[in-house]
Amino acid sequence: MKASHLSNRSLVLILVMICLLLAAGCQGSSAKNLKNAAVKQGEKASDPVTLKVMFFGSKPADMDKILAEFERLTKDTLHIKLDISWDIADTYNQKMRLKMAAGEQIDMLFDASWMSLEQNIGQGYYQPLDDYFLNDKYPGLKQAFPQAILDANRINGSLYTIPLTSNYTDFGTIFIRKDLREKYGLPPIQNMEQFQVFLEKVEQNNPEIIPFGIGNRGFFDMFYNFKDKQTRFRAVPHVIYGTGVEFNLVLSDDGKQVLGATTIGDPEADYAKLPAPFNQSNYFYSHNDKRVEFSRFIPADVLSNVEDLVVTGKAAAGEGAISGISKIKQRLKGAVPEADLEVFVYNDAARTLQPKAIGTSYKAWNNIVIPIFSRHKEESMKFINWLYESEANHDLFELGIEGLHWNKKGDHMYEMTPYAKDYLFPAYELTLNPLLSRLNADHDEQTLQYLQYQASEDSYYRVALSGFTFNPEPVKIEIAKVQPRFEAFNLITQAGLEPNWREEASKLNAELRMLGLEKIRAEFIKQVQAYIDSGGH
Amino acid sequence: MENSIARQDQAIKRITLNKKPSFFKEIRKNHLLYLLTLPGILLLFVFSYLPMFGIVIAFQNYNPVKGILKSEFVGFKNFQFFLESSDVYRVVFNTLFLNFLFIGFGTLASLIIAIIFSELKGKYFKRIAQTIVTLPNFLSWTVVATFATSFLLYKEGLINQILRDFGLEGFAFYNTAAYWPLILVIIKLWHAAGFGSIVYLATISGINPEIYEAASMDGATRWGKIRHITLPMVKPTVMLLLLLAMGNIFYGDFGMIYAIVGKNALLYPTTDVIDTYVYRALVDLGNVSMAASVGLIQSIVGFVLVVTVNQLARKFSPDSALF
Repeated sequence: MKASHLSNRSLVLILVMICLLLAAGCQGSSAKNLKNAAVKQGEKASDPVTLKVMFFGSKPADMDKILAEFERLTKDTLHIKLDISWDIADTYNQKMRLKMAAGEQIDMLFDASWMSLEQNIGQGYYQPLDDYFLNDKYPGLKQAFPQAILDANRINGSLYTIPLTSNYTDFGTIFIRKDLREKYGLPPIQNMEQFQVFLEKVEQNNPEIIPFGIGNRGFFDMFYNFKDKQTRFRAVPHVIYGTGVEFNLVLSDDGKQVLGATTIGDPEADYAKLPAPFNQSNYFYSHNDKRVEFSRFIPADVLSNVEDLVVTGKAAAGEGAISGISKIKQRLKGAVPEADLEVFVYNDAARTLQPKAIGTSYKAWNNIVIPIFSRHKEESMKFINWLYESEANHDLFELGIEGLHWNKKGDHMYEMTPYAKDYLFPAYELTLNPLLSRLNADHDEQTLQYLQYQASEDSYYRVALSGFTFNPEPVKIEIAKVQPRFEAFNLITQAGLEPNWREEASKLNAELRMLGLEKIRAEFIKQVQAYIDSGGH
Repeated sequence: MENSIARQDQAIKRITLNKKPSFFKEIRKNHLLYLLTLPGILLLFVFSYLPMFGIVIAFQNYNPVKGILKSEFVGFKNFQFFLESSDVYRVVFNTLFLNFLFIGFGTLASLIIAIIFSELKGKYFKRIAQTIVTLPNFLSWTVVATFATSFLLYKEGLINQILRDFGLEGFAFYNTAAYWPLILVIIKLWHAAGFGSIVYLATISGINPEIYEAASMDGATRWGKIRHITLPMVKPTVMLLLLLAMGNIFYGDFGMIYAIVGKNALLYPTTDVIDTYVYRALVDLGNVSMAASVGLIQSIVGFVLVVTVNQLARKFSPDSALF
């Protein structure tokens, strides 16, 4: 009897303890909630609002100085603090998506079409921002983002992004070691034939140098056809992304009808159904022959190469976007002091500074978005408005502290001070803007000319279907099946490593058809036609 | 006489049968002990079993904004992409093949290292050597990948430079898929074998030294002692670890393979495993449900394998079985 009494008592005791523990747990969180609520109420009076921001790249050494200056300047107006996290690009994309999938509270983050902008908008992750632009309450936004830019960046009829762009393109160029070219007695390079001669000279005279130091993305745009303006078709380099494979889309002359969409490896009979010159596969793919031809100049382990071979002086030439040249040149001179670099722009019309030479969809290549999970949409937009309100505000974030990191020079230009290296802010993640961004005066005259040319509205023409975005949802299973196959093939041909690419492409195409290529193609054509029918162009 | 023994046997059997109480009787009898396990069970339930309802994502068209409860249910549709892909046989084969190599050679190497260390007598040498073989395990795969590059590049790689110094032809490692199972196994062994030997070393040092002494007195050689004492004594541990490894055999080592092979499509034929393949297939779509479906397949296969191998272990070596 006594024993049972005791056990009952201990049973009760233990149960009470468990209850207490659970209650303590609940209490803990509710107490915290209460405290949070209290903090929120008091926030307006004392504590600044902290905005959580996600960027990729490495944190500039002096970032905290700039943030401190920002807080000092806006203590009585905005009263905002920025909490910025930095990740390397590869990790960033995954982390950002994971945070969105988990519904984490982030106030501003970077996203782009080349990351996962359209998919994330499709998932409903981002807030529409239409009300803030062209609104007198936000003069900074009104001044820096004119109607044309906003129109080009609407997706599904709404504006979900703060579009960051200073030019509509950053065109591809080949970087060439000027000192070597002069050593071989060659004239400045004007075409691919001369470039090939240069590479051969490197091979003969400097066997220790890799003639053409490209990385694991292979050749970028250098062999593409830039002559034919893509106003009635879309193919590389203006291919429409998100379809798992790359389609060449052809429209009728009046632009009202989709005539067809072909892809690599399709039988010639499929091409023959289209009007000339699209009636043969060579029109779209002859660049692959050039890649194979030039592959003897590239590094042996090209697909595993992630090193920038030009900046270390290991390669005599490389390919990249023009705005990067001054930084590449600086680093190269650090490694090889006597080296010099010049650019060869392979788009003929752009090299000769012709008007309407560069195709664009007028879409920003980079964007800031505000996730649906943010509780500080208003404050975030106020910050962006402040940033674009005045040149001084904008310069602070883009270039750092005047006099310390940079100095004004000439008309809307700047020059770097020796301390500039402590604040190399990735402008394309927050501040890039056609009206406010200054040009770097350190560029040589030729590059400066190109940069001014690509900053001019008149250098561009609108590609067909510029506002179209493919929605992968209806065919996502097919895309998931087709994509890894196509991507593997593409990586190899992009580096010119498959001399029999035509046969391999036909084989691949037959396989992709079994995996659902035709379903994707039909959906793609359907969506484009629907876009045109609803007045898109 | 025999009859009485048989009767006794039966009696014992009856007693043992009677001893097996019903579930409720057992609970009533030991309720205090069971009560003590309750917090642990609760914890396990909350943190390991409740989250399993998340599996439902694999059967939904999951949208985080709508949440798990409001997302549309689509049945087995998400499984289609993986099961219908033509590459699936290749990546499953690569995953299993590489994992068998990793597990087989890894166990062997760890065991050899553990035995060598248990036989070594020099105190300082042993400590230093042990640290050196354990250290690589703490390097991230990204760092290991840079090491690998400096060894394997065609022009500047260490191996090819040495070969060329001897007047031999170099190997284009990064262009030839056939070398890669071997290369990956070597890298894996270098990275993990030393660390893996710690468990075996602990088991070996747990063996009663008197057994070795007795064997020495009977004239056993060092090799004889390893063969007849050490190896049989570590066998249960080896089996246990193999069994646990079976559960992960359907998972490719993404961290390792993605860091070292990356986007080198020329090497995909032998190095593309389920995880890298799924990553490539879904990286642009960012579809949580489809990824979850593949994860579910992997865990189910792992679960089935662990149970099967455990049954086999119970049959052939009862000491080593997990449950």
